[in-house]
Amino acid sequence: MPIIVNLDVMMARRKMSLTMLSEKVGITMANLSILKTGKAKAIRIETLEAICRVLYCQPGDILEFVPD
Amino acid sequence: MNIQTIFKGAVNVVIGVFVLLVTWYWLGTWYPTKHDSFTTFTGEYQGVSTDRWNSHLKHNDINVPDSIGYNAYNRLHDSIVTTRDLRDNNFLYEGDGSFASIFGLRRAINCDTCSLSWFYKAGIYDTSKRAYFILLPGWKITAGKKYYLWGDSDIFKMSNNRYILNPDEPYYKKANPQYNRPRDVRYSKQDECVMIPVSKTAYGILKVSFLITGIAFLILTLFLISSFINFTLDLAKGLSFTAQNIKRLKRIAYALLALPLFVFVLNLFLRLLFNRYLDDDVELNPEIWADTWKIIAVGVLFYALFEAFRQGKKLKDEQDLTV
Repeated sequence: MPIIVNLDVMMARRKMSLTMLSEKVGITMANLSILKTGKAKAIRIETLEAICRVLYCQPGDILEFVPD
Repeated sequence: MNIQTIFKGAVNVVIGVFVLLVTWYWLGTWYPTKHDSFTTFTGEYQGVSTDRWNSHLKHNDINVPDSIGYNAYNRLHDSIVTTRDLRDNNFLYEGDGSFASIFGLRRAINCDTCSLSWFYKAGIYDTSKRAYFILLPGWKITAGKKYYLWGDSDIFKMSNNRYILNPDEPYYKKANPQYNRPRDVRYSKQDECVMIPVSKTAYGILKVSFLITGIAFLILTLFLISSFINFTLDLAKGLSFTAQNIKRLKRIAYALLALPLFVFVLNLFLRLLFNRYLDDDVELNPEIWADTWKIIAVGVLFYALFEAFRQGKKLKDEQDLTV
């Protein structure tokens, strides 16, 4: 897929585990895992907003476009 | 082992038992009883309704005078009709099979000079006077369609062991100059379709082939039924838009839509195969296609369901993978 999710990079920078992030963002571990592994088909704006607030970053730090 | 597994296992056992029962019953109709039985057959003919006063007996048999009493007329009329059926290969055995509206097998008495009294005394046991036929339900002879409405038509007769088409209708005589000549083909009065004579050996081989084909077709039908049952069970469990359900609906839709096409193509193939026996007056039997639209309609319905569930699965996956 052309859109790559760099969530694990930001989590490593902020030294946050998946469990901690899911608790703070308010979504399930399963959904977060779907996002992290790049299987997600869509992301809600409110979810992106919550992740960016918790990880203190921009949407562009998490989502990257790589052409095919 | 959780309760879901047990439930699924129980459903499969029920379906399997149902399949076995249907197969056992159906196989039973293919194997003849120990002694050939004409009870049902003669029972039917003894009860022939004779309220048709304008019979078509005259040009092949003696004319029954109207001046004799009602009961005497009925008895004589029935005797003549039954004798003619005996001579025209229309005394058929039980236990033969037919496969959908495509082909079937028949055995009959083959004696164009025999009488009813011979039949009742010795005919049932005399295996030397047997004829074997392939039935083609998809094909009928033009002349047969009008006359068999009355049930005692004698447009066909056996003479010197040859089958002759002898209609009384002037329009048919004009359109078909080949009437009144011997034909290789026979005509089944009961089924109103063409019969092709075959040898006893060919009959035996074909019977086994038909049995195998019939079993394969039965398994396919029961497989489709079980697909539908499992589909409804999945719906009841709340598993609607799954890949398995979509596959089941697709399978059923394609099978239903392909069936009439398969029957049609196979009928055309049989016409080609037996072209030597069939003249221009043999046409497709419209009665076997009377209910085809229902099969196609159900097939279209299942196809629509398949498309709807496929789209539903896409939407469900999209929703499931939206975080």
